Amino acid sequence: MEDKSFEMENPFLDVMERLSTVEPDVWQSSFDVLDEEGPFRLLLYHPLKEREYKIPLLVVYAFINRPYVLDMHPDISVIRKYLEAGFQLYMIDWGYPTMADKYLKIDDYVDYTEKCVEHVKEKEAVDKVSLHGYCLGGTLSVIYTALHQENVKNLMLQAAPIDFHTDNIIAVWARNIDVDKIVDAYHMAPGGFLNVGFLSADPINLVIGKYHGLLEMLQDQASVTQFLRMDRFIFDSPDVPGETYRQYIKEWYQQNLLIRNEFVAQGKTVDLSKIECPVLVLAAAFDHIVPPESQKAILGATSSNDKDAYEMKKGHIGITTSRSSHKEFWPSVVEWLKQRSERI
Amino acid sequence: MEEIKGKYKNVFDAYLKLQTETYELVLRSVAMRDRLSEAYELTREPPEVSPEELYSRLKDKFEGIYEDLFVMFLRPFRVMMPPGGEYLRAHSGKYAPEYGWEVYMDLFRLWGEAQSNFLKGIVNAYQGYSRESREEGSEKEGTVGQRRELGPANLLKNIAAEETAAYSTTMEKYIEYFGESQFLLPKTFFVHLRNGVSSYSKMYRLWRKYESMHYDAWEKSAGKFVEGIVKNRTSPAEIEYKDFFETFVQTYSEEYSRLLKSSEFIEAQNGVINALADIFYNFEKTIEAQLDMFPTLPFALRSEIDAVEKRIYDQRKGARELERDMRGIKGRLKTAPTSEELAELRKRVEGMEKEIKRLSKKAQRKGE
Repeated sequence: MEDKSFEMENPFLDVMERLSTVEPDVWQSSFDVLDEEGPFRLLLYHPLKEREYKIPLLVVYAFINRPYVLDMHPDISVIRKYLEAGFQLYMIDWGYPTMADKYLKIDDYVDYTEKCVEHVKEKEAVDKVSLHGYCLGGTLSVIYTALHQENVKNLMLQAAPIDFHTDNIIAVWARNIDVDKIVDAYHMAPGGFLNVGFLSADPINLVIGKYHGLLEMLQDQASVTQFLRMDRFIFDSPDVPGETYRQYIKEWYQQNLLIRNEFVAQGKTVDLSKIECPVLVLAAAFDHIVPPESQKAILGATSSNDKDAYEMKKGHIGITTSRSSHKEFWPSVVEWLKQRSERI
Repeated sequence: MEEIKGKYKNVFDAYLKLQTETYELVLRSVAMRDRLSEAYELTREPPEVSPEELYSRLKDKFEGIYEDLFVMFLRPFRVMMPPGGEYLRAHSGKYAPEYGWEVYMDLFRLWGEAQSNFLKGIVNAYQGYSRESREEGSEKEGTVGQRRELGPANLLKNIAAEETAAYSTTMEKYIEYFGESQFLLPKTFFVHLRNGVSSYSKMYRLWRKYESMHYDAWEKSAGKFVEGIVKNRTSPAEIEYKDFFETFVQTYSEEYSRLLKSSEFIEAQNGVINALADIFYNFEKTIEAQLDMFPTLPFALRSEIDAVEKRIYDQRKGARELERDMRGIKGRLKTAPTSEELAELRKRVEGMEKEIKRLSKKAQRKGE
């Protein structure tokens, strides 16, 4: 494509004029809020077709960033894929914790996951649900399943960190920070602090490279809209409760307790071998936040006889938001779940 | 003119619609793009230059790009430095760590004076209010005048005038005689103030090292990039901007990846982050210690709110455990017999007992 930006006389004003016309809308699919507890919410998506499968699906996103990444574009939406397949779809939204939530720990996230599963089971009159956990939501889903396997039919883990001792920059930095100082000073892990942390792990590509790409595509309305949706997601970072952040860094990144079966939640040691249900790992091969080896570590830790990994040559977010992954990857993911779900 | 006004309105619209970080990064990226394109044009000029000559032509552009790229990342630390970071660099000998103590004593004095002025302002406001009331009511004496004298506004005015005058006088006195305030202020105030100031001094030293590591990596990348440009080109016309840009990104990215993973950099980064956290922590505690000494303080301290929030959190956790127990009980109750089933069972048991009694009596009679 011919580079027109050289020819702009006032590039800054022209760029801003262009961007001012774009509406980076997110949350494409509609839902009802079934439960609220503090900042947490349980959402039920409105179906797009008649329901086909008995076991409902509960999506558990991470407590860093926002879950609408799974539903950012009308045609490139994981949520929409599940709804079009005929699944009854729920999602946990961790919301925007404030200073009033600073004492929340990982246990509280597991507790709310349990509450949501029980709520869904009762509402749908079923004994089990399927779980789809994305990133740290996958880690929470693994913990919940290990503690309450009887409630989980299928477990899908998308770019979920399980083994935290990896060599990517984020993991190396996390292993070395003094998390007590940060939490004692700021009480929370501020969203802005997390944003700058992620960006500064690769400033050249994530700033110069990325925004240069935006300036090259300014004439393409659809591409600019999608870019700005992505940017809205990337910088829409809730604060993380201080005690959650302290535990997350110390017990996961620094002590790596989860893969060692030494992490304690709900008063019990989490033993990953207690996971027996079908497990599917959705791995992003070029993920610089959660390397593939961290994502796939769960496969060797469970007792499941039905486990597999589907890998896509994309990054941590690209696996969700790229057009090519929705053409090549997600149909087979949905098919995997269909094959393990009883029809109505 | 209208066109320009319209364009600036668009800037504001974009500012409102975009995330703050996106707005800033787009703004800076346009500037970086301009500098890169100017640098590109410079590389197309007379080709027979040495890497050193080309580097000196491009230096200003690269330094500008460095500033645009890293200003967002380095801002939290630059903001904490004494006002005027550039002035500091130029007069680094003057701003030795000891000077930091004086700066922060000044800050405390200014804060105390501001507090005193604020209270004086409240007193003046009450006095002005009551003056207006008196002037308004001066024609209406008797009952109305007495009611006004005893009215809440006038009472408050009198209390405020007397109490805040005493308070502001006290504040002025101990600001003036700071040496004697060691007997007025709690010990925790001094401990945290000392720790905060020494953290500030520490951060000043660490910050210079941290920023220089960033800058050195940038300079190194620039040198490699320029060498590559000179070495690989055969004719300026063959270097497309796209290749120039991609080589720039790749060269700098490789150098920065090495830096960011190095133990020296991680130690420096953790040092400034920890020092900044220490500053925040200790100055929060300093202010809290001072506020805590006032029994009539009308608002809660952060630590008091934290204690309340902890209690609420513990109660919620207990309630959640009760909910879990109740779910377990409900589950067990689902498989337990209903009251009708129990009544039916009871009837059958009673019937069986009667039958057993009848049969045993019969057996007894037979035995006799």
